[in-house]
Amino acid sequence: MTAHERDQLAAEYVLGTLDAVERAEAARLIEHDPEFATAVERWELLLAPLAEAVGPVAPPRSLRQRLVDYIGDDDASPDDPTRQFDQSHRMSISRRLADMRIAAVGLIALAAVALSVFYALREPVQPGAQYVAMLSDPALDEIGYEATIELEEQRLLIRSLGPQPPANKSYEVWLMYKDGRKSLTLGLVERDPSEMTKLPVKLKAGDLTGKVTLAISLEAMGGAPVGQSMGPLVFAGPVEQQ
Amino acid sequence: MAGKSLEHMITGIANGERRAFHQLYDATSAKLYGVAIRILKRRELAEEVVHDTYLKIWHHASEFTTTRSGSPMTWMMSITRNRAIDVLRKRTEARLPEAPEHQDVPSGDPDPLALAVQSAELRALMACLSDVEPDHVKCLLMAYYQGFTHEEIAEELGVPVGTVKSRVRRTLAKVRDCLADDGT
Repeated sequence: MTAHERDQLAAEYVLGTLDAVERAEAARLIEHDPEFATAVERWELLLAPLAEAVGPVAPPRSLRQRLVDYIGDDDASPDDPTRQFDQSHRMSISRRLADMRIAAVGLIALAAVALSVFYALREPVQPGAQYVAMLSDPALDEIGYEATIELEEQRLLIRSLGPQPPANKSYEVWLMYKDGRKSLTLGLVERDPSEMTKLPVKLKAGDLTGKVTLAISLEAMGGAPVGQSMGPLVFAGPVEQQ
Repeated sequence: MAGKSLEHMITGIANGERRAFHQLYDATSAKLYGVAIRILKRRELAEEVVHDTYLKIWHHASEFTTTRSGSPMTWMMSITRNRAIDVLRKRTEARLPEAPEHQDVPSGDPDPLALAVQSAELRALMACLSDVEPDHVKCLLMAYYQGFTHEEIAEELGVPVGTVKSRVRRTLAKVRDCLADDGT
């Protein structure tokens, strides 16, 4: 790629005109090509003033509360960050303990009911049902990972055919649906997986049938923090029953 | 909203100060939500994007540097826009339903009130764009404010995709050269 082409791609990435495949390619370049990453930063600065022309719109109050729930309250002294952490952490723990006591009473009663409902309604698993997906890089149209899911054993194997996540980044596996169902994370891709690992969530046959895509996203080290992909999709392929 | 104080808040967040995080949220969330909703046109999607943006700020505040990232607002706006455009592209690929017809979302045009109180940087950028044909500038603004691809702009304006690509590239080149001359 010439310097001119690199600059043009960086500009269009920042502007937002690239389609999904081109964006995924540009996002990968940001990770691997320092000159491209610098060009993107330069264009971010050049076009940033345009954002000033966007008027503010008050977000829903629930959004702040969701973030407070995740991060914690700010009710400690700002002068002592350590103390602040300790205090809010302690308050958070005592609040959680109180909540847990209340919840435990209800949970014990519900558990028996839930167990009987679970056994009555669970889907019959076809013995030995196995699902596979070949995950290709949309930019290069090359298969990078091969995935196998054994439903009965609730196990998964993601085998790399060459690619590895960049340093200080993680690849995370997702089940994605085209019918509006929320994506499910199946955990991080191990660097050199050789055997099947237990699925982090219980999957049913219905979770793997229909138009289901298995995808790998590029995430910060350790994966997406809230069970929702934060980074670009770098490999994807349809799930098929064997 | 002084840039310096936002910088202090981000430094505080990098040190794990929740108070700084909440202050930053109160000072900037309406702006970031405004940007996200203009691109996504759906409140629930914009809410998710802004939620993800603040979590990213919480986890990556230590990576912010003024030399590379520009002002705090530029850095946060970039995270928001990139995330919103990624969601928009995934949404288009998954062919999710469009927003309900009567949903109250702002238009994709720049806000005249905000334009009236513009910074020196925005004035310089607008001065550069004033030399470009209005049809060309329109392509650039449709992409920036609404996250349209070349194809979507072409469809919206009823012109070939090649024409849109050419207009966008010329306008971007003009911005780059003009602002370089301007020393900004």
